[in-house]
Amino acid sequence: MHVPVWHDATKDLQAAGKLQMVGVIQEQHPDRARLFMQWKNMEWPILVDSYNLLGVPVVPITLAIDEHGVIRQINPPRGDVELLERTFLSQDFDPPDPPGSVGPETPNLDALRPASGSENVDVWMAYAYALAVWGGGERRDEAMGAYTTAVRLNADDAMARFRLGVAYRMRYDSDARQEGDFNRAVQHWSDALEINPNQYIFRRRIQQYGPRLDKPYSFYDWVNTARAELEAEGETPSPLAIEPRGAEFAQPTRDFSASTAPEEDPDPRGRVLRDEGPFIGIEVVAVPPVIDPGATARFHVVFRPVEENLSHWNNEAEELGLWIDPPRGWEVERHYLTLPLPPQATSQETRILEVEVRAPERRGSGVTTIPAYALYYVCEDVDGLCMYRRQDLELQVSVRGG
Amino acid sequence: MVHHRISAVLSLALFFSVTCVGVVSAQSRGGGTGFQIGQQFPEVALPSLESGQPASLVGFRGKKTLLHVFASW
Repeated sequence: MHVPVWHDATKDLQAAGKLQMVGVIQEQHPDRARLFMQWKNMEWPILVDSYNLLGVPVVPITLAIDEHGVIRQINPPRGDVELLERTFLSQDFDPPDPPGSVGPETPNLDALRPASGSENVDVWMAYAYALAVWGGGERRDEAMGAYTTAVRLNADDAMARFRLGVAYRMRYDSDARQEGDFNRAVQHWSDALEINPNQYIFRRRIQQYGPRLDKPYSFYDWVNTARAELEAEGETPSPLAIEPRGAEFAQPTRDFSASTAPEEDPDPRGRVLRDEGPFIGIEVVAVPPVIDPGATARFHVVFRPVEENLSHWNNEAEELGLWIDPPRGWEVERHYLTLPLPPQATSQETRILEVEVRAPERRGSGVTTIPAYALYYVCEDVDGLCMYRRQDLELQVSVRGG
Repeated sequence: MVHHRISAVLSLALFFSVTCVGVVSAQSRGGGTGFQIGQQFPEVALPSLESGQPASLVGFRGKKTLLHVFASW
């Protein structure tokens, strides 16, 4: 791996004070980088750039920066310390003329707010940047508003769209989550990539949650290894706010393995009573939302007990199940998915099932709706009435013209 | 004072847009990274992973530095 190689190769130089290492993380979930740093024994400062405020088109990038803040080498040969010492560390560099500033001051965010009628995209992007860096989660919605305005003023601003998607996914992962946040994140990332298909940060953000056929590698399969190795050494692994799951662990594949084993529709005549509370809210996200003929999409089906109905999962019965019945020509990796139950009798956690489908090779463009339904045991309250219920849902994905 | 702050943040935004637009022209020197040799590193502030507080990369001046823009995946 790129960065650990550099770290190991330069340990002595770091210890001698001849070289400092600094990282800028380009991840939606930056605390995973903290675990990674702990695992690899890399104790140096890390800055978080989930929004890609640096505007980098790709990672990793290594820059050799002199003591005056000037870039002297870009992507020097990985781990070649002898070359680095000869061509960078032993060199005396002149300070730039004019000298660099002392860096950005903490801005007055309210004073920065553009006039509501302003049509200057740069001003809105600057305001959004300031909110993203100095406003924290409390002012994330304002940053989203500023990026939304920037996108309205310039629909081709791929970076504004990407950053708006990042903000939506951040809100999705927070207690302030609103219905549709993950869908909007994926849509904005997809729009950004459509505008700038050369931007690998955009592409990776979609692939992180997307289907295996489109994956360059598993994004977070290292997490369990890291935890096991840290625990074996007596360390407590750094906690993660959002656990990686499903698509984030999935390995890439070259072949789509559709279900061939016979699977039985668990409610072919639709006799199970519908969840009319509803006691379970269901959100479906297609990643990516638009695919080519013959390509795959990964559906994230998210189940949440509805708080105002005091809903609880009943875990003393059968597993949560999801039956998918794709139209002719479409393939699904499995028709019936289930999720193991937790040990406690009742619970209120969010549950997620992920499934991949493949579009026919020949198909006209447009939106396809894949019928599905979920079966689950739910209780009105901890000691309330428990029911076996069905909820019908639709998995929708768009296919480009074939 | 307010105008100075707006200018500072706006100049950052313009830097970023120039950086993005300039990716192709930088390829000969920066390998398509968006950076150029001889360029002052952007005076950008980003939240620290540890504290969450904004930290400027200017704060790391004074020592030779390897700066890695990366992801754990």
